[in-house]
Parts: sequence; structure tokens; C-alpha cells
Amino acid sequence: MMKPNRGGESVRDDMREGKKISAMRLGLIRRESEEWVESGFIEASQRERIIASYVPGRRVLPRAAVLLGVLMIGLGLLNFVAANWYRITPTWRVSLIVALYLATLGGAFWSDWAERPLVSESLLFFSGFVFLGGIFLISQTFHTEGHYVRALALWMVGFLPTVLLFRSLSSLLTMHVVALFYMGSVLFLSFGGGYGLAGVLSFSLEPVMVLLVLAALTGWFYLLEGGLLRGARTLSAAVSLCLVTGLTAVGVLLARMDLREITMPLFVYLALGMGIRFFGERAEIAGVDSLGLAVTGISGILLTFPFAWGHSFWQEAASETMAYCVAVSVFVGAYLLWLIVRRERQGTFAAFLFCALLVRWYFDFVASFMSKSLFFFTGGLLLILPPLIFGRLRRKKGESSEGGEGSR
Amino acid sequence: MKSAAWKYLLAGFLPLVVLLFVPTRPLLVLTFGQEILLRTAPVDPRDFFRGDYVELDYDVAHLPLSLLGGEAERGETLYVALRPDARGVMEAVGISREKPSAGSYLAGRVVYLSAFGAPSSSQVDLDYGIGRFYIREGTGGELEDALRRGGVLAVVRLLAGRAVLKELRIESAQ
Repeated sequence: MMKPNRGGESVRDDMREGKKISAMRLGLIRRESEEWVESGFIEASQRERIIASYVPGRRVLPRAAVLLGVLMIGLGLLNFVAANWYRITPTWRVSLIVALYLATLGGAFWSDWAERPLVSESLLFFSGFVFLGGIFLISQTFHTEGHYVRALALWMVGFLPTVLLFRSLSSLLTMHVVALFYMGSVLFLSFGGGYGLAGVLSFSLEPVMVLLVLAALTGWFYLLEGGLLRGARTLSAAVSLCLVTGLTAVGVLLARMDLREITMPLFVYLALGMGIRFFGERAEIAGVDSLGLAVTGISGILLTFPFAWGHSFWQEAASETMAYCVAVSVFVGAYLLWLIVRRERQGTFAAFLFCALLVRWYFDFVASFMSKSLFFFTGGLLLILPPLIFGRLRRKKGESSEGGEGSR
Repeated sequence: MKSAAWKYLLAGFLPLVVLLFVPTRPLLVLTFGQEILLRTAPVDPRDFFRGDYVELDYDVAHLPLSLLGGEAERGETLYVALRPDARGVMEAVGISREKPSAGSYLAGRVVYLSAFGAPSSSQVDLDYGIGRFYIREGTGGELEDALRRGGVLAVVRLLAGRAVLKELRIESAQ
């Protein structure tokens, strides 16, 4: 029985016909079926139909690296603009931001009508990035003090219609990651009148924002599952909502314990995430395994920062603390690599988190002595170039071997 | 499958509202506001999402509660009446719960209340939303050097109590 394809791919992608298999396996089927035709077991037209029923699956780690690399280059661009537009008046700056947003949205619309769905989807995703960058740049232009968490909330409110209307995977994933980052920030960082976990209680006075995050997360699961697992959407949406609410409740419960350090709560989330992923995979409830992986990945990456072990942001961490951070990195890295190697449906997401872990250490080593725009540009290029170079080499190799086969 | 035009219009509506609404008030204040000088002192952190900035602390942000003539509550908005000193730098001359009918004034939110001994020595800390000034990346050191030579004045635009920071000016040592 064919298992339903439920994770990792966009709703639009899923509409394409063909079972996804690795390029290596597809090559084997091509070679074998050619021999079957030669031996007279099947007709050439049957061979064509068999091959057409498969699509080569894209490699997950390069895709995740490219996605993260593009995001970093975007941040580099944002910082480059922020550092170099002091001579432009505030009115012109706002006009430029609005014009760029309209251009990307208009470009997405035009590409859509020109039958270029991939370009349209990419521009739509980029428009969300311009919108987020615009909020921060406007804040910088007028020297406003707003907390970045509020900017993220504003972005989620504004970008939610795009996510709901177009259902592209990149936008859905970005919204999900931002929502989790937002929740993590308000739960664990100092915010509005308190420090550490005690600050959470002051945040709990903003229930509308919490509800918004929950709605966004639920919507994400609902849409993703609605497209990929027809018939079971209500069950998976309900389970996802229960789990997200439960995770929030755990956060609030831990906050009420008024712990001074966030180490223990992060370990609790790390373990909960692993449990949820395991449960989601076993029970085959769509989206739940991704939720578990997100919780594990984010709490794990947070645990690789010294502040998670009680150090202040501005203080140099003791070697003992750094050893803990490295140990957690090795553990989380190995866990993610295991998921990538298994090539199961969370492979793309696991690869994305693995790249984020690498970026975190890159951040640690070079951020202090590089300008921010250069730091982001270099990091983005380091993530993008290897997949591009190796991809090209692989294609060349494939072409030459195809040529060899043909001449045989 | 092509998406309908209304989807794009709907998707763009909220982001455009945010991108146009958020800068409206500061633009109005910068265009029509009165320019004043406030004495300030910066420190130098780094913001990864925007740019380098200096955190600013103002003389008028820490005032004796006696200027209000009563108790204050954390989170409430108070109005600080201003008057220029001999060098044209604004100083606080009174605090009220109602907007002053005349003269320059700042609207601030109470962020902290502290009492030292006698009730008359109680102090109120106010936030005017102008505590952060973004600078060109890597120029924080230059500002610190300038600080050693003199104080820093903030050039602020003021409209109906709302303030927007325009620039920082180094005050030469006397």
C-alpha cells in the first residue's frame, strides 16, 4: 500500500503527479527497464510510462542550505541598506520601502499570470521579507524603541493573509518559524517589566497575541494537512492545536516556578519535542512530527548559547559553559543528521535546522569582528555555494555518464 | 493555476496599512513639530536586526515626584512641562496628569518609581520613546571619544507632547 505523502513539500508541489524517489534509484530503474525492453519483457511505451510515474526527489540538505543562505543574504542586504542610507530623508526611505514591497507583490502577480508559478511563489516569499525588513528599517529611520518581539507580532498579523491565501511552503514555513521564535522570545526573554521567566507573567497580559500565534500555528497545520492528507484534516488540526496549547501551558507553568535560569525548561522542551516527533511518526498524524521536530530543534539550538546556561549576553562564557554548549550541539547535530540520513519526510526540516545549527557557530566565531552586512553576505554565500558547485558537478557527471550510455 | 487578482490585493492590504500607518505619526512630528534640545548621555549596544544604536538616558527622564505634587502609578502617562535654560537646553519645571494648555511639554510613561528616605526625595522615571538613536555601523567609538570631550545634546522634534529624535549634537566642553 502506498503511504500518503504528508510532509516537507508544498501544497502546490504535492499536486504534481509522480512518486518521489531518489535520483540514484530512478537511474537504476532507467537502466534496468532499458534492459527489459531489449529483452522483450515490456514495450518501450510501457517503459516510458513507468519512468514517467516517478519524479526524482530533491536533495534535502542542499535545498535547506540554499533557503537559509538566501535568508542570510537578504539580511545582509537589509543591514547594508540600514548602514548606508543616512543621506536619504525619512520620507524617501519610507517611499522606497513601500515601492519595493509593491514591486515584489506586483511581480508575483505578473509572474502568476505569465504562468511562472515558481517565480511568483519566490517573489511572494520575498515580499514577506521586504515587509519584515521594512518594519525594522522604519523603526530605525525614526529611532523608535519598539521591542523586536512586537515587530515580529506586527509582521505575523500583516503576512498571515498571504500565507492563508497562497499556501506556499516557503511562506508557511517562515510563518511557523517566526511564530515559534516569537513564542520562545516572549516566554524566555526579558519582556516588559521582568527578567527571565518572571517576565513571562507580564507577557501573559497580552492574550490576543498568544491567540494569534496559536491561530497561525493551527492554520499552518490545517492548510498543510488539508492539502496533503485529505480526509484527516480535522483530527490532525485538533491534535496540533492541543499540542501547541499544551506546550504553551508547560511554558507558563515553568514560568510560574520563577526559575532564574532557562536551562531546565529548555531541556524539558527538548525532551517533549523528541517525544512528540516520535508519537507523530508512530501514530501517523500529519504535522505532529514536524511540530515535535521544531520544538526539539529550536530548544536544542537555544541550549547551545551561553545565555541558556545563565550567562549574561555581554559576559564572556566560562570554558565549562562552552563545553556544555558544544556537547548539546553534538547531540542535537547527531539527532538531526540521523533524521536526514533516514530520508524520512521530516528530512528537509531537519536539514534546515542542521544548517541553522552550523550558522549559530559561524555567528559565534566571526560576528564580533565583521560588519553585519558582510557577516550575513559571507554566511549566505558559504551556505549557497557548496550546493551550487556540487550540484553542477553532479549534473556534469550525470550528463557524461548519460552520454556514455547513449554511445554504448 | 492562476490566482485571482483580488487575492493579491487582499494579501497586500495589511502590510501596506502597517508600512504606511507606522511612519505617519513620526513623519508628522518631524515635519510640523517644534525643535528642542535635551541633555542626554549614551551607551553603545548593537542591534542585529537594524543597526548599531546608542541607548540614551535623559536628565528629564528622572524627576523628583515632588514636581507632580502627588502619587504616580507605574504605566500611567504624565506630562512634563519644559522650559529652556540659559543655553537653550530644555529642563523640567513641572509634572501633571493633564496636558498643559500652553508651552512645551513631553508625554512620558512611568516606568519606575523609587523612594529614598523622605517622601519628598521620591523619584519618578519616565519613558518618552526616544531612548534609542541609530548610528552608522562602527561609529559608536567616535561618539564615545566625542563624549570624553563634552556632553551630548539630543535634537528632538515635539508635537502635542510626542517626541521624535532627529539627531545628536556634541556639546563642546566649557
